[in-house]
Amino acid sequence: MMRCVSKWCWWYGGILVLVLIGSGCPKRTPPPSELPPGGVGTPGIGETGLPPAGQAPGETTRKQVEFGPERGGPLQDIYFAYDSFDLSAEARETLRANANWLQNNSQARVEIEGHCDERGTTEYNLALGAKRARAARDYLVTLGVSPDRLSTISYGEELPLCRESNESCWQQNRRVHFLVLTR
Amino acid sequence: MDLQSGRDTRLSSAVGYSGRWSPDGTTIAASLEQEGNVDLFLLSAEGRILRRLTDHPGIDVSPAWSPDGREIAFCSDRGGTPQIYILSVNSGQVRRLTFQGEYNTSPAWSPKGDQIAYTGRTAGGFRIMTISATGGDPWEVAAGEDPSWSPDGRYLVFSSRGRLRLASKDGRSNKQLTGGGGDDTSPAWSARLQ
Repeated sequence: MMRCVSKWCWWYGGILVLVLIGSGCPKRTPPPSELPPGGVGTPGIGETGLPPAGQAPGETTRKQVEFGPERGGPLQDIYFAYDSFDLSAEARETLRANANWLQNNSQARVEIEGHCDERGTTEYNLALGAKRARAARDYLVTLGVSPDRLSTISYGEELPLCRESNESCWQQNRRVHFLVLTR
Repeated sequence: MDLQSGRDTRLSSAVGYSGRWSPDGTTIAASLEQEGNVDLFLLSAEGRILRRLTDHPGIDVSPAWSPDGREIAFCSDRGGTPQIYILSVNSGQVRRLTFQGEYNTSPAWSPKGDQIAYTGRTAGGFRIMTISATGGDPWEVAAGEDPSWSPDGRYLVFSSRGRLRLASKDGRSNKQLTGGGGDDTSPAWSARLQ
């Protein structure tokens, strides 16, 4: 039997396997200027992927930076207001551009990652991240992208791009990231 | 997990966010994701879905059984913001419990069944709150998240700034339990008071 030796491993098990009884701040493309309707808070989870060996929890994972816009990746992230999975006009515009790329690269499959800021509880943020990923996926499908090429996953608040407790940082973390699996 | 053998058992192939044993130990209330939406389900001890407990496009998470097993408190954003709701397991009827504040979650039913502790967000951050299981005005216990009752119902253990703390249910006493590196979160008190 495999043994979990890190908390990431336990989270992995916690998401994919129902378990009973039961933070490094890389710079990246700034999000749009949408501001949430207010709110303060403290840390509150959701990880379904293991970080590479030797990587400390909380660092941006290899798979996140490999195809992301900061490395000239083809698909751009979209951003959300606090406690919302509604697609803003700016997010829809980005998704249209992403859909165009996908239609010109018909072999590409994409994993759509839903992320949240640190405020709120583990379980709620996991669910919110799933809602964000699903909203992005559904919009891409309406734009003609085959659902067979799209998968979704929620990381909740577990993979923040920025770890400071301020609105600027939280904006960067409330995102959907698109990971190109094959091209 | 079998605490004696240390063996894990996979209960569901669906993405699950939480599971709580019923008081009689025969079933599990779980929040499972289906096509991006999270609802509550009743599972057998082996993980078979016995019944869908909620069917709503909103987020339904953090189920907490009443001590008699007849009701389940949970967090839902079906009203626009995350609030605590009570579900009757038999009838399926749902009533809203919390109305103050715009973010209330992580319910925990007191051992006597008369109170529910939960996490509520205020201007000052997250607070441990208690409220009568029949509704009313909430009582602020302390700053923190994710409360769990002591078996005798006199204390609450919870996390605050990455440490576990213990407070009396009236909030008059409050002490830190853990320290050191890393975050300490999501405490759950054992059935025995030790």
